[in-house]
Amino acid sequence: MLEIKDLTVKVENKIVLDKFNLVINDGEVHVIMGPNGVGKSTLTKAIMNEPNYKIVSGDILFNKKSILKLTTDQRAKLGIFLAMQNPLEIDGVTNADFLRTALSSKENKNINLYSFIKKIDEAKIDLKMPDEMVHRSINKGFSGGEKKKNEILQMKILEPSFIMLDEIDSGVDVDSLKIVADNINMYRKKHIQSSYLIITHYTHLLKYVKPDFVHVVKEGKIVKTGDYTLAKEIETKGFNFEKVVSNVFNGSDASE
Amino acid sequence: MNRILIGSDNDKISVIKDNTVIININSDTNILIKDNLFNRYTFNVSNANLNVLIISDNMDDVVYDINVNKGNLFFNNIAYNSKNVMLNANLDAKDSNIVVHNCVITSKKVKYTVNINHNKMLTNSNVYNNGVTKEEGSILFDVYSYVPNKSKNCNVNQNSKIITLNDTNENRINPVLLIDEFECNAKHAAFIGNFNKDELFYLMSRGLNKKESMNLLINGLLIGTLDICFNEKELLKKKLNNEWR
Repeated sequence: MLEIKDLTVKVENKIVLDKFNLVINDGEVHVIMGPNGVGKSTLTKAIMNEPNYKIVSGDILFNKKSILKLTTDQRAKLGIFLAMQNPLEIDGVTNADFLRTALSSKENKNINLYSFIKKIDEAKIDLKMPDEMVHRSINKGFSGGEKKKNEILQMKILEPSFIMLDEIDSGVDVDSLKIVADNINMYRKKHIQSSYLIITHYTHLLKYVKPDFVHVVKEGKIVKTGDYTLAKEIETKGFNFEKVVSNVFNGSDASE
Repeated sequence: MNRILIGSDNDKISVIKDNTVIININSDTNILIKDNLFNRYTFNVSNANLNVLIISDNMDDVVYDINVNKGNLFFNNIAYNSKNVMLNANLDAKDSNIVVHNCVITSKKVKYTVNINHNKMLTNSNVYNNGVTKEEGSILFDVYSYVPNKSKNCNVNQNSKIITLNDTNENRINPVLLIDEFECNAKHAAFIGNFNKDELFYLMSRGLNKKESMNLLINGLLIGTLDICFNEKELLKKKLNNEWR
């Protein structure tokens, strides 16, 4: 589904990702962990073509085609979705208007109001969101947990195939985290081919959404890849890579 | 709830004197003013809630005089290319409150002046001026809020924003707070510039192209925050979409 080849990304004249490689196949869940500032969020922004993140070299292939020349909206229309770490508040633009416009744009036709309301009602119930949240300005006055639920609501409405969840578990209470995780799992069941790139610092979400691969990033590169055990090891021992890597993998090579 | 429509197809106006429309309100009322018929309006609100929606198009030199004697007035003014618009409000009794939304889209040079006088204690005013300039347009928002001595515990808020879709450097906001009383909460904010790039990115990351994203943001800025009902908002959005493109 997604292949990142030797990707080097610069932010404000500083190289943040350096010849980064990663392959995510259909139906896989990949997790990226690492201390602050190693380039985890940069990766998601570069995939989504955030203007401040300049690609110096390398390529990003989505379903075997390069997406480097595509704009952000064109990438989204291909089925790439980024649930952001700090979702923005946009005053005056309601969630309902936003989502209906986005859905119409994706489907390239005017969405029938009845089917839209039905779809959004179902998603709202699944996420245990109050009715009025859909008619409020995007993320305006939402709590941390509500903002993250709103990102998942958008995912459920737009039905992307490749989903990046950037610290979806931060600022979320235990009950809301369970709801978010349940909805991700529900979505995975419904969309078996969908793939995920989860950025996180903790294993809280991973207890519910089981990863196929866990990657540790340091200085803009993946330095180790493992499974859920690696995430648990990091949680107990921190990002002391040499120690973690030797304990868990007994000298196996960094795989990307 | 009374509903009054002031326009070419309706004559339910309180008084017209010297080409000035005088509207006396003492029970909860909604008023819609359109069709550019008059240049001066006076609203006298007494112990009531009044919601006014004014839609004007290329209307010049309009004055709105407002006197609130206990009650709430929600003043929503959406203007296309209307210039030299002045609003003078007097909050004449305690528990008198006013919320002003001036929403302007223009390809002309226009000026909007808002004067709010907190003549009594425990009065509140919130003024929101939102504008978009295009082609040869520029906007001047002059906002004056006056709290005299002894008008204790008043809340004063001014918030103005102009989005520049053209190359003009003539957009101006002058927020003026004239406060002569220590026990008062007063604040103002002003912004002139383009839409926030992060907002555009957020919308585009969901599949909206730049034009659709701008459209949503302009709708949100000018209409989304108005204190009017859903149907009226939808009608205004349709007109606005034709205006800014």
